[in-house]
Amino acid sequence: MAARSRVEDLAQGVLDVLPVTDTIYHHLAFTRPLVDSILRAVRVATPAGRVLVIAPNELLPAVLVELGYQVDLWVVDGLPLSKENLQLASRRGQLDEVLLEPPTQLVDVVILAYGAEAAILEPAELLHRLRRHVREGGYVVLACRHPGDIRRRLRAVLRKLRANVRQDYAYPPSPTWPALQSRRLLTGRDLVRAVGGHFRVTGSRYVIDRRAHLTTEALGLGPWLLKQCLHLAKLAVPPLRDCVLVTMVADARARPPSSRSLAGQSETLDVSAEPLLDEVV
Amino acid sequence: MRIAIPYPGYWPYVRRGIERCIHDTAGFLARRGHDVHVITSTPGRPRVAYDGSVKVTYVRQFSHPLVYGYRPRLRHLAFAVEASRILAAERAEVAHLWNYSMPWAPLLRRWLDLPYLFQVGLRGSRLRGGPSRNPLARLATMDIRGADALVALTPGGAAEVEAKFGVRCDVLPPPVDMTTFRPVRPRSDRPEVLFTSDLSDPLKGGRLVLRAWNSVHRRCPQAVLVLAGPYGLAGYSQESFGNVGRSVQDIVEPAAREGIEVRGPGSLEELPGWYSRASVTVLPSVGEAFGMVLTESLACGTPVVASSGEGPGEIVTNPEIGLTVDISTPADFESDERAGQLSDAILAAIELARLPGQVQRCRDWASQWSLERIGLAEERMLEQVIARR
Repeated sequence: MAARSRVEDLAQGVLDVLPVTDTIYHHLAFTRPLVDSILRAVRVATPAGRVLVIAPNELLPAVLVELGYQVDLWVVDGLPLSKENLQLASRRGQLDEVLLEPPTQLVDVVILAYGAEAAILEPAELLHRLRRHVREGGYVVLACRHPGDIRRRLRAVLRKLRANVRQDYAYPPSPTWPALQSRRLLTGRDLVRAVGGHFRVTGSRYVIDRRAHLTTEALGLGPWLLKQCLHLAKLAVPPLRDCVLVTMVADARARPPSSRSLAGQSETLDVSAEPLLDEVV
Repeated sequence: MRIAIPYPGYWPYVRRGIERCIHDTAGFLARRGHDVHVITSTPGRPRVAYDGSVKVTYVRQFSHPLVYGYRPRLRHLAFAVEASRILAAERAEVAHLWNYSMPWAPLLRRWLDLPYLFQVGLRGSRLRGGPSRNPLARLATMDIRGADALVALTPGGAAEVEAKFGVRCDVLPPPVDMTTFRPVRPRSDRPEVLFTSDLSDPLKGGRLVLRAWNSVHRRCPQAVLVLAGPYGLAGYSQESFGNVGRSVQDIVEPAAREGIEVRGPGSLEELPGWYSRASVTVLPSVGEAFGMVLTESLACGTPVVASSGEGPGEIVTNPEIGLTVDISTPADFESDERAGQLSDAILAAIELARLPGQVQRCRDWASQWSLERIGLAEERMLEQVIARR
């Protein structure tokens, strides 16, 4: 609990002095729950070492640096980052381009948020590629949107009742994250199946990736209450949360992949390309 | 002098004209040996920071979706309450106020013996108020009418304030720091058209720039439109900054999109380089009290294109340093004719930037607003305000 609050305090402290405009501040604060979850997973995995963040936002690398990690970034095109973060970048380009480049340096932890579901590579192939960047005993932390989150479930129910229900969103909840459009949705089980002989899963849990509302969005009482209720439901029932966070350790002795797991293709999505900010349900 | 400057927005959270002006003049006055305290707000936890020798107190913002949904002005009032508390504790000799910062300033002057200079940074439709018998309306503008000294940013702005409020108004323009804003990089080989204003602010003319860009791109395909503005003012612009991309998608023809670079607001350190590389900086806005991006661009040696009215029209009065387009109402932003005129002006300014000696011509023009000149004028005004107490 103490470690948890320390990481959160540190993240808030970094956010408080980050030289960003107030619009960006509020968006970073809105999506801080995912950053906090990732940071906790990294802290549990290793207290020090070299961390590679693929497709970062502005806050996550800044907090990792503050925590004393050596940070390397693979920056995805389209998201302006600060000069400080760009100086940490060893690769830049489209997500699939940076993932396909050959390894240059082994790291202790690889972090990829919203990327596994957006990459052209199927999860098993993606993990196979990531394994080449992680030293033996190192970790990969993946955060993926999953099909059971509360908004998707509610929309699925509403679609049965009426026709004009908006489509599910394809992008991360804030434009302060790279605009990685989901090609598929992944469950924790999908990721566990995909690890094959490269990794051993050490943790898998549902996490919330955003606060109940963006502080500065103008809301009436009804929509505000609805957002609060949705958030409370996510807090109370983990499978209703936004993402699944899987931590895996690179382990040469891990069970080799079954032919079924490598052959299995994840489900593709029919999603809207709208941004998420006016969302209630 | 012990000078207090309360204003709800400041760096790094808000980087528009008034915030830059406060930053530059506060730094200048502090370097002149005065004790300067900027009181502002933060979306995060309250804190005190030092910007050089300027003390900056960040009080917590009063932000909540229901506040923005029902009573957005509560945020200003909450700031004014917090700032009043700090002013009461610190006892400055003089305050420099801007619009919205302290509605009950005349009462503070009496209670705290704190005279104040009030700088009006609004024009046209943004400048509300004027003669009224409605006690609430008079209460809302008592900070302007009760000021020890009232200044606007340009002579035209001062005339507008005098006509609206019936009080004397002098002129104190925003300064440009000619040391920071100077030509630091050679002009780009591909002509860059720089738009550093907020695309989501409907009065800044971003949509007109995008409409004009279709024509500029057809006639000068190698040109690049650099969008380097901030993304809205949190809480006030409810348009998502993700919509910047959508505006480009909606307005700009597919071929012309190739020539657009979305750079974001960047940092102060980067700005002089961006201005220097550009061939022209564009600000076709309405309701603009001044237009600091124009003087900054000129200080970096880059010509400008602006609207012909209000503040920008009073800066760009020399055809050797820039051109103006007749834009006076938001309806002009949707006019094909105005978009055509703006594209003509942008192309003419690109040619202007290629003339020998152009950098120096622009800098000479900008020097009339140099920080040294304006900073000393402000220092004199504040001393006079204290002397008249």
